[in-house]
Amino acid sequence: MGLWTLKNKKILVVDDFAEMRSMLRSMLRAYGAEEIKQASNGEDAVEAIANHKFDIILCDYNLGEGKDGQQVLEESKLRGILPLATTFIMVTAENTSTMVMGALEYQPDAYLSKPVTKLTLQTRLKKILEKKEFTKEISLAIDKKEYGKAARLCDQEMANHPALRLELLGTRYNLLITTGDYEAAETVCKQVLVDRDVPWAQLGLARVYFAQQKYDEAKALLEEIIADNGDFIAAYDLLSKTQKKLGDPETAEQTLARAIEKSPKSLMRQRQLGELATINGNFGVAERARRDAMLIGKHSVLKQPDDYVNYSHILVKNNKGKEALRIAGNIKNAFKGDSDARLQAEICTSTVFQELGNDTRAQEAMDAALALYQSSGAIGSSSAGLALAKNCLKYGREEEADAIIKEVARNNHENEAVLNEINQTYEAAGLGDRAEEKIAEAINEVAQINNEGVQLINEGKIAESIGLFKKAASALPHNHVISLNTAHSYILLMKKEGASKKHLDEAMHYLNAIKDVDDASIKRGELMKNCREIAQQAGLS
Amino acid sequence: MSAEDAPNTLDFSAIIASSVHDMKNSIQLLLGTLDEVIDELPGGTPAHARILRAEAEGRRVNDHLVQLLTLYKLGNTQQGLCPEEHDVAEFLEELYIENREVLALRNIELVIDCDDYLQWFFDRELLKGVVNNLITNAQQYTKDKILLSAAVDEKRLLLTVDDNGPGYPEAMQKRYGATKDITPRDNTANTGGTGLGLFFSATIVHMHTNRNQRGYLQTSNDGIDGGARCSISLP
Repeated sequence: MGLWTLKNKKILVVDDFAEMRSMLRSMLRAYGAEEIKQASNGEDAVEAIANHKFDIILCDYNLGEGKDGQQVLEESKLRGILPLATTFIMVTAENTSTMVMGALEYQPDAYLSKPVTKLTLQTRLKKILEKKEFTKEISLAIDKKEYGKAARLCDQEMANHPALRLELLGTRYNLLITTGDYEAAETVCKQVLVDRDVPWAQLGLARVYFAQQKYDEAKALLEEIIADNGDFIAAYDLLSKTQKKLGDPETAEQTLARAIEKSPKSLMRQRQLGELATINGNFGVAERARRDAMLIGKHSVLKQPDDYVNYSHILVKNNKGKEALRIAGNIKNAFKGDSDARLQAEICTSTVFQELGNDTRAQEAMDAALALYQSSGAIGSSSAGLALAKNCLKYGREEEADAIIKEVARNNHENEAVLNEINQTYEAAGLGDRAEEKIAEAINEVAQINNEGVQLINEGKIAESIGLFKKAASALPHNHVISLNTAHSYILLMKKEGASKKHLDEAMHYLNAIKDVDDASIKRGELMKNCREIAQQAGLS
Repeated sequence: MSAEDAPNTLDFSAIIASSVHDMKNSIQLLLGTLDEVIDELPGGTPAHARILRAEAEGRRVNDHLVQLLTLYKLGNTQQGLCPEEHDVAEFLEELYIENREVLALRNIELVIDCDDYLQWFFDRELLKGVVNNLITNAQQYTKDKILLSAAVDEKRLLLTVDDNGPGYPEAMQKRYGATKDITPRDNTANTGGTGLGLFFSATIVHMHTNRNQRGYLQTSNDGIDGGARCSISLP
């Protein structure tokens, strides 16, 4: 069998079919593999990946009931338990090209079509591992978050291995997006797209437009991509987000519905559809999407109490109160030992009872929720806070309602949608005037912190401004303006006193915390650029 | 009540999808078992040769399954292909390894000519079916050699299957010509067999598109010593 060997490689084989596992294992053993673990379903596979470090994972796409191979890959990547250095190979009985288009963001290192024979396994595996070896240093640098080093290694390897050019450009693009360098990312995409419509570069370019808030450009490009290739699921997802940003939730819902038809097993996609359908008043669609999101999430660590809460709320809307109560009651079991989930469960139960007209039970649950809130001091999401505040207003607990709303407002002082909801909440309780007052109070408080901080900076007291913003950021973790200002202070400090790894990491920490806040993407991009320049000048990248 | 709104209408595509999955698993086990037997048998014995042939047939069943399913899907969804970048040398090596031994039984030598690390865009599984078709075809007419080669020229990948047989008959050369590409509609020729292979090959090659260009399938007598050449040119 030549010199090639799998000795010392730790391997995981995932297949729901015992005979298939034993066949793959005997093939691998023939090439010297000794340490082979196996899993017969997606849940066990993820657990194995969480508990062991594998060199190679051979995972069948079709795993019967439960998670499929793609979900195993996605969940492992999202949880950060799958190092880039691990080779993940998807074994599939279907044609892979539709699969590729269906899951562009989370791609395995390679697809292997069945039947896999001993000889084809050797030829393919040899090449795949060889390629992986070429990019090993890059993977290690990325896993260690050394992005500047990773980028330099990419350029080096591209010169050494021209065959890897496209793959390395893909890595380069991801690095540029991670470090917020949208202009350079755009250049990489356009460079790739000169000769051919390579899907990741097409989507990548649209992502850049979206991050730069050029929604019209993003929309035009995404529509073109989908017209060319109707299976390009990630393009639908982003188009839907873009349409929503452009103020067209109806079309956004239609776009997402088309994606769901092709690929229904995504938790994020079902959540999105549930949200859009609710906004559009399509409660039937919303109920189905919320239910599917909850079911898909059941065996996933990505599940959130909100999946249950939202499903429960839509059931109430559709006059299925009994079912809604059951779902609300399930939250505590689904998230054992999670104090935030307990709070969400009580709020949800209270809301459902209130809708059903059972004031006694609604108030009991509300009291339980308030007790939990007072002991933890954190309300969680803005929707949970507002739901509890509504109940408080309904049952004459205005003081508690005001306090909760103030916290929500301070965390979202620039978020129009949340501020509107606050308005509606007070108006529904006949306290319309109070909304303005409370919102103004919250905005003033945040503005005062910001002003104080800026003034400290102007007086040259940068360390003091950092202290102020950091304190504010821990009190208002969801307020992205505070996060931006905290990062900004660190940058100013480094400009004044010189760069340090510690301060760079601090600045990046606050910027990474808000990477999914679309409204902050431009300002964040600018600050990330500052960080890059500082790191470069100081030789820290 | 029409068939469409009958409550228990069969969802044919779902049935196909799940049975293909089962069949693929069966073929996987079949080929894997034959692999094990081959390892246990001493080389050069008649039994060894018979098992090699059985294994080759197993792979053909798989190729046909892929072809039928692909054509079925294309007919139903009108979806295009989305070729990915692959290592061409590795692709040819895989074809070489799978065909070499069984061709050797018929005293046919299979040779590969391709630069290391040559990369191009294609649908790996479908193009494998196409090239396997061409190899099956070539082995019927060749004297003792088949050459598989690949190179990139003028921003296209040229993949050729050459043999050293008598070449295509004059009538066929007239029909297809050296420059005209073979289209899926050309399959009614009395080539023997079902014509599925040629139809599939032409369909798949044509579906490899990039920007405003598409793939071509051509035949000529530029093979080894005037033998047949079938070439695939992909944009």
